[in-house]
Amino acid sequence: MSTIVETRALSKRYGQLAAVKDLSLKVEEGELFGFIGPNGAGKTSTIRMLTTLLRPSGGDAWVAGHSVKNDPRSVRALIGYMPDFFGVYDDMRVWEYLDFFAGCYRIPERQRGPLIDDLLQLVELGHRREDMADELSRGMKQRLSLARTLIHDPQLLILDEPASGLDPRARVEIRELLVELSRMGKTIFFSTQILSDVAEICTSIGIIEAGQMVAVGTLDDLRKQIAGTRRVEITISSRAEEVLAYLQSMESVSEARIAEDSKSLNRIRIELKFTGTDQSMSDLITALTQRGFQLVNFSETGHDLDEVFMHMTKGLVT
Amino acid sequence: MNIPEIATRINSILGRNPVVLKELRGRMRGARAFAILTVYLLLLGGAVSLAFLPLSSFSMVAGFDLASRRLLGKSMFGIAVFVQLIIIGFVAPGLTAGAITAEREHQTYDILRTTLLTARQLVTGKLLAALSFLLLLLVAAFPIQSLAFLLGGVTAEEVVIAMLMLITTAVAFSAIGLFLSSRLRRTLISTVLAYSASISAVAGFPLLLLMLFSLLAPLTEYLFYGYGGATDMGPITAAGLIMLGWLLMSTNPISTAIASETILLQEQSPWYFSIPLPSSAQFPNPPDFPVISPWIGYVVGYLLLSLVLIRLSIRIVSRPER
Repeated sequence: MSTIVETRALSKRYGQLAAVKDLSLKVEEGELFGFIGPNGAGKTSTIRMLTTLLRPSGGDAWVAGHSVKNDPRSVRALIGYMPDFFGVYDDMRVWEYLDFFAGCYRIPERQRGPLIDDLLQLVELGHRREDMADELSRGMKQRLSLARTLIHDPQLLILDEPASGLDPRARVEIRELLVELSRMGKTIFFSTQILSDVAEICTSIGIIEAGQMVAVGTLDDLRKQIAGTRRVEITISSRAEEVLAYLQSMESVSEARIAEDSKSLNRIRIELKFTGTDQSMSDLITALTQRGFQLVNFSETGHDLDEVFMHMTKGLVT
Repeated sequence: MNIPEIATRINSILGRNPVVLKELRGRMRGARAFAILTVYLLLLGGAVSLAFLPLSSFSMVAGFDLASRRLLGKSMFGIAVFVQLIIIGFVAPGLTAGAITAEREHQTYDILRTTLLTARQLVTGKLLAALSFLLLLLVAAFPIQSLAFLLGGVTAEEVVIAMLMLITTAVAFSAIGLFLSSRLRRTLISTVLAYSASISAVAGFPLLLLMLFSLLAPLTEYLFYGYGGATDMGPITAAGLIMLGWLLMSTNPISTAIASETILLQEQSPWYFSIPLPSSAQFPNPPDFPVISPWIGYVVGYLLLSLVLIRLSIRIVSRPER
């Protein structure tokens, strides 16, 4: 696996205001990278520098080894960029829109027809081929934009908030498309403010706040970085007090209690805060069963990404 | 070369610049382009008919000879060119003033700049698309223009000069719009400025004449009244004033057309004419001052200006944001 996006001390200043400060980051080929941060954190500035639209004030960024500063043309050939707005012309048919951009990437005319049909099929717009592009719904426009980013078969897709402003259904559709594209071998770098997008589909994430990277890694990595926040729920059918006593004696358990709403007599839920690794969690399960406790359920609960996020960020905005 | 070959040729030129194809598709879609074409031909046809009307009455009158028929032919042609100059001057900036700003407003500008489309392709594509529509207007006017040929009197020089001037006007006013469009953020402001430029160039004619006469009062006095006038201007001052007048005249398509035609008629030369200079004590026998026909200044000057504006537009578009 090779590095496809790399930034070193990337900075962007607008006069006195530093939008991006010494940002260093690496994304490996094949990853689905979620770039997450609050409004004004510097996500769009970073993306605009990566896509050669904005000249960095300091540092540099490379896409597949090509510098955005010194070799923007090679970078452009490798990326498909979707901004955080639709960018659809009002006087064009759906296929003409794709045909125009195919022309912009110098794709020979005779290859365009089948290519456009395939792409429309992929984003499920085949039946709207002849319609005017501006008559499509927001979700469809977004899918058409996504098809456009794919027209020259780029290695890397850079998407600025692809799910923003969409209804829940369209959001799910876009998310599924991203997973599909990732499966097809594309590296995807996308920014978002919606945590659940990241939690469900990303292979790794980066959190940016006030122009600086706060954390980079897989979701598990990030979870580990903040201690004491793995929440585990255990359901047992009997011997609740014994189980509780045993759990409280464990070093990796910082807190254990019987859930307040656990009323059923033969099903008791115990909530605990776990600080150990995956291995020690697995050891805990083995120990519990070896002691003859009747385990009905053992699970990590909730999206603690929100917690990760709240913990990592301080609510700063540049 | 037969027609299919020409079509393939044109197609390959368009294929190399996707912007031209996209613009033309957009422009020719719907009724707008055809409405512009219809209004244009109606205006042109109406103006030429007005010039043609006297023919039907005069031709009944005894003494309607060849010379007056030629004069009529000439004036019909002149009126057609005059109307075309004005309309091209008004359509051209409108076609390009939104060219780049509209991309910004549709938020497609950033997308285009991340593709392999070069700034040069984008700018020249927009210009070529506008020019091909203007060329359509010029070609569509041929039948009306050539009504004048039925009467005779129009010389080949006049036709060539008129075409050169019309094409120059189309190129220059498109380039002005394009430059403003790449320089400014909003289509509205760009359009207003582009029209201000075209109005001051085309319709600023009466103003310009006024300026000319007040500035050059001593010279006109001399030109009109000859040596008997009260002028005691030296030949160098006179030559300077002539050059200034020539420059002012050459910026305006209509004064350029009228002056060039006058020179063509009086001096029988499409290229230049000479004005005798007043003598002074220092220069008792000054040579005649040769002046190039203003259409040459107009064509060369405006085409150079267009070239500069197009280059500047390309430079602006190719610059990454800072």
